[in-house]
Amino acid sequence: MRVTQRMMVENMKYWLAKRSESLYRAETVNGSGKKVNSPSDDPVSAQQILRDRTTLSAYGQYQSNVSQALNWIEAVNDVYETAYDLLEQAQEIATNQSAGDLETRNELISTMTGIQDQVLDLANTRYGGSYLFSGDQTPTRPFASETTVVGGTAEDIVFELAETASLVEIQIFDQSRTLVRTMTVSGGVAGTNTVTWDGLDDGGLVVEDGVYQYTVSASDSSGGPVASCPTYRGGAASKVIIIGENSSISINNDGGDIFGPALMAISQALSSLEADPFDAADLAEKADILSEALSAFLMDMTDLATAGARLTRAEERMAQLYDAAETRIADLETAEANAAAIEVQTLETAYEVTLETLSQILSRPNLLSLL
Amino acid sequence: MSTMSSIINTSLSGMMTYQTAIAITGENIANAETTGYTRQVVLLGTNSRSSPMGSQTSSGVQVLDVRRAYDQFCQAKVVASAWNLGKLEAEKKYLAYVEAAFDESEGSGLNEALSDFWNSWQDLVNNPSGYTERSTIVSRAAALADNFNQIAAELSRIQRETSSEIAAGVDEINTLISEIAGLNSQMIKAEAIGGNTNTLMDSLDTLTTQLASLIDLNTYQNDDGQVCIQLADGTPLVDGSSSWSMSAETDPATGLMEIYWNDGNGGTISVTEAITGGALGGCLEVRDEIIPGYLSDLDEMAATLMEEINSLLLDGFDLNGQPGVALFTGSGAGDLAVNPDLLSDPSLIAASAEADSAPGDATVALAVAELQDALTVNGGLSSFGDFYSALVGQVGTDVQTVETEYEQQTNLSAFYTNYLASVSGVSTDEEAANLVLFQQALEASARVITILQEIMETIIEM
Repeated sequence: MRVTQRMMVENMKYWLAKRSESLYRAETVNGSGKKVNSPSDDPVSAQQILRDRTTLSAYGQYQSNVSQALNWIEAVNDVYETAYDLLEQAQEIATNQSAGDLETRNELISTMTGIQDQVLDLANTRYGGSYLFSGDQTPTRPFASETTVVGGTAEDIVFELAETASLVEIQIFDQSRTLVRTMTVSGGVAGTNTVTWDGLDDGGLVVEDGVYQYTVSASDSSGGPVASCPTYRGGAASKVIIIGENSSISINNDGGDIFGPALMAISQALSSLEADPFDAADLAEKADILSEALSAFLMDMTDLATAGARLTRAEERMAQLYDAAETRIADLETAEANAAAIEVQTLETAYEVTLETLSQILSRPNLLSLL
Repeated sequence: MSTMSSIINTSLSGMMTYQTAIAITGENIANAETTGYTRQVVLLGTNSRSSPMGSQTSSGVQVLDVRRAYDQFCQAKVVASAWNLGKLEAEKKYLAYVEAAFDESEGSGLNEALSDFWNSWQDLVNNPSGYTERSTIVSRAAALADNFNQIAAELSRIQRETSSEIAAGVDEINTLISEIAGLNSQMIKAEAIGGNTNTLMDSLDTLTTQLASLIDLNTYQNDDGQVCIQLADGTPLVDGSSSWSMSAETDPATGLMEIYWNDGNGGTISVTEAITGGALGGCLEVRDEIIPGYLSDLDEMAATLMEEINSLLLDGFDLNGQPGVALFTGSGAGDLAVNPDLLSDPSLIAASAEADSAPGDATVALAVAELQDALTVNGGLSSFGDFYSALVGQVGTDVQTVETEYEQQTNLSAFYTNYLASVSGVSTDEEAANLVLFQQALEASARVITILQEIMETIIEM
């Protein structure tokens, strides 16, 4: 093939350009520390890296969900344990033989009332601005004997009764504990009762807007007391925690389920203690009811512990998966430092060789200079 | 028998011929580095004359032809390589901009924004009656919409960028076309007076190759040796001394540059579709085929995201137990935005499935969070994240493919250019050798005359 001087030079210029481009690429990898600096460097890896980053972010979120939930469970468990102790105390009181003695009985009544108040407070525990045991009605207090009046219209009065009553007396108090209205209702059913209040006070005047507390006392046909307690005002849903792709755990936080029976059991024991004349056999029955409530409580505590264990296992698994994803991204993305540096050196050498060849071509003698 | 005069004539013809040969050689040497110069080869032949007797006698030497050392086939290949290379070069350039638009380095792009967005919904599931969580959702949604807007806007901007290159290209094409036509008419005149057209043909080749780097074309020589050029679909640009011009106008409907052919009588025909090679072909390919493909994928993703989330939220109930409102407004990636009502009041975000179960019920929030892994895009085959990462992968593959094809084409172009140079290029060593030969031949012829002169003097002195 006929080759001219110019062709030789152009050829070397061409290779010089190619070499410098390779060198540029290698220097970018070396300098940035990354094999994949743009999608075109390695489209398949680039795509995988994006997917892995998404996975990593998701795992981070699942871990956060789980750790938030575990904190929540801890709070709930504290409440459960305290409530359980109180219920146990209540049961002991109900089985105390010396309840027959009036003086002792008055002490027991006082203690039992204290227990009732405390358990009610526990049921109404707040956590981070919401109520723990309100189901889906988190801003609503689960157990409260109160009604709100707006524009002269009052919310219904609801309460629980242990059994059928023939007479129910409702006393309504304002914020300053002043009695504004007494209502008497004949008849009441076991379970939830709803009574409408027309919003008028004893004088027949419409009361001011606001929140009003009420107390309920009921008696049966023979004049004996019927136990009452506040109705659960919350919702029924459970707390949901996402622990993975299409995978979530539900934890029951329906206060009505959890605390309803306990509150009623305590109320019944209390009204049995307060009954005049005192009936020891009746108190013994109430002790049994308290036992049932305790068992139910224990079951709720076990369910919670199970959920907690499941979450802890999920947390550990998540941590492992997170590390694996991080490693995978690093493998795909990170340039091996030594290899990259060696590559740069190799290409630099190749470039220098090409330069030398070019300089040799350019310094070759031509015929005219020899003639 | 040769007479004195015939010997002198023979030697004279030698001197003149070798003088011409030296001149041509000198021209080759002078133009050794001129781009597009085809070396000229002097073809020498004997001067033959018929005698009155009918026999042929030779009488010296003549220049039969000054021929271009040329390969028609190779030139044609060089021209074709020019428009292939021109196209790939333009595509490579604009695709580099496109790749930069999808910047996912350092985890700051749309992929990350999408992940953050889904995470904020999970936080709402953890606390369905939360206000802060809703506020976070709104700001993450806004960031996500921004990402979509930015990519779409950048892709549209790149499309409009091609317009200025197309306009400049058309101007250059017109200049080249008229130059070629001008050279064609000079060619006719030069041939008419029997002059050397080699330089003209060199120029025509150079201009044709330049033109080919801009658009793909058909080129042939007519019977007069003039270069005729057409667009790939046969639309004439140069025919002998006649030429037609092209123009570029922005189409008001699309904001993009359209290319027209002017018939010379005020009429125009759109030829945008006919151009598939050269730099203009590359610009058009990126602008009209490649970028619209990516834009439509982005639009599909944005529209599906909007539809899926909005329909879930509109069926739900917000923090105050009121029916939920849409989270996103818009029609595609370019105008995706957060519902302005939500920007001022994030509590309108629905998390619950029933008015009664609001605000603590997380059913709707859970459904939205689960959209992250749902197969909703691409006819129910991909999740949002997978669809986007596949799109980025596609961009990477397309860029890589063009880069590879460009590399291959540069190799091919280099091959043909080299081959042409091998045939047509000047080797100064070769020319130097020829120079010496011709010079010696010239001196020899001159020497003959000198000897003849001496003989004449001898005869006269006799």
